[in-house]
Amino acid sequence: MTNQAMLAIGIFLITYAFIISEKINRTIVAMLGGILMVLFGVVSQEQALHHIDFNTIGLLIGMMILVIITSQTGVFKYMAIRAAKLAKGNPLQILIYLCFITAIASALLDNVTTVLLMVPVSFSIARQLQVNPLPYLISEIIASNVGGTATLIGDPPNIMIGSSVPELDFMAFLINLGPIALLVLLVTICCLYLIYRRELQTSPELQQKLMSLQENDEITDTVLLKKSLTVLALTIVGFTLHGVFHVESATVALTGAFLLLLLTGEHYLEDALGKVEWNTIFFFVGLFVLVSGLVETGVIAKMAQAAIEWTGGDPLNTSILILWLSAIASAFVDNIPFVATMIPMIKEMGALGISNLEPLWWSLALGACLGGNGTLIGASANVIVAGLAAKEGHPISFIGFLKVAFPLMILSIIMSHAYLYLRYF
Amino acid sequence: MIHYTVDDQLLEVREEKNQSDYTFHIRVKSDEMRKRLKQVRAFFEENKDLTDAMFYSLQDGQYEVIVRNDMYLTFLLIAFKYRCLESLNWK
Repeated sequence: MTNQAMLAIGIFLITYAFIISEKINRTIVAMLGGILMVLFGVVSQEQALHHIDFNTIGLLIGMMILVIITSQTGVFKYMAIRAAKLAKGNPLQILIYLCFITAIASALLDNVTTVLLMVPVSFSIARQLQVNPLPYLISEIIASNVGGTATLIGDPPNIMIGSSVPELDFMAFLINLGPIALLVLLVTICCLYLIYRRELQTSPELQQKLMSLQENDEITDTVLLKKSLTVLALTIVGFTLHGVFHVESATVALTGAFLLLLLTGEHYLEDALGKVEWNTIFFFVGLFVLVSGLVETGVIAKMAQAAIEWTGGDPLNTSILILWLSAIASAFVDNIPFVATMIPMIKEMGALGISNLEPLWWSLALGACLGGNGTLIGASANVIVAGLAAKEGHPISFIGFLKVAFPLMILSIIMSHAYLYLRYF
Repeated sequence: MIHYTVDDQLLEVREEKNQSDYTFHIRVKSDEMRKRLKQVRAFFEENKDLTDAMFYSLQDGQYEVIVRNDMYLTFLLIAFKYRCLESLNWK
């Protein structure tokens, strides 16, 4: 191994350790790690820029702008109250409906945004019914990670995989991951129903009171709502067709975002660009450069070679190894840097002789997305909800979450294991 | 103790003390007052505190606002700022 490779591994491991420790903001750490790769000459600036996946960046920014504007219409509150009334104020049925709404929204938007929109209204419904809000919050975290697994745009690992492998378009993700995500969601909701059936009880009077809520009053701007939903629908249609027209997913998302801005005006431009999560965007940039050091020095190729030797180059064994490794790793460390490292490794496996990489990509997506449900720090949505809940005086304990979510995560990975085996081998 | 008054022609307010919060039962009698109440709601929904004051829209111009104990005074001040209250003073 060359000195440059050793240096790349050193910078990577130190950066990774700081990201896991969460002592310093992860964006600052990732950017500094990437910059060190350039400063120490592991990669040139040109190589570093070449490794930044602008499709991932563009897709994230485009979707963030769309969601920022749409959320201002009050449509998510409207849907949640409508669901609560459809459930006739029954707290357990509301849990089921909120899980479905969260999962569907997470499949079409990003998980963090979805939970940020669902948490306030969940507090509101729980207070009205005088029940503990935590069952709703924990269920929404789990549902958002499961729902996000189903599509190319649902979860950052999928966005990264879809951007790196052009043949895996929106429809490929939906067709291959949609069925298992739906199955996992249904089983998970059944389990959550059983877990919380005793805790979520209220009086008939409070149920009746909830039925008198006026969901229409939640819509703040009807004109903006029509524009937002039309553009959002067009964007989703664009995603389903982007493979047919050979247009990258980022182009679709950015077209939707700027079309909506064209329709809504300058006021929304400044507001939307101001609210884009630039922290997340720069975190991705830093990671891409960080991993480029491992790619350019041949470390990734050596790791792929070792994995293939370990599994004997058998696609089934390799696929199952990736699934379980990704799930366990994603439960305890951020799944974004993990997937950023695994993508070039799987590509390298293709160069080393595994002819059909598709099952490996699905293994990575299922493991990384569903694995995020394992612990309270497994995915960004978990951390965000835990932070909000603690701030509002309803802390979610690490162990409390683990007791509910870890067995559900393991169950989902066992189901994914069976699905991969039956469908691809 | 804080004391407030409202214009009975425009608004009816009934306050109920709970263990950890207050519930305000509000009946709005004019569109202008409805607009003002929306401004109060926007203030609390745009900040980062999710449970400081939770607004519920009911039938026939009625609203329910659940205000956390520690936000009681802030709620009244904001309601006064947007002219939902006629007066606010210490007694």
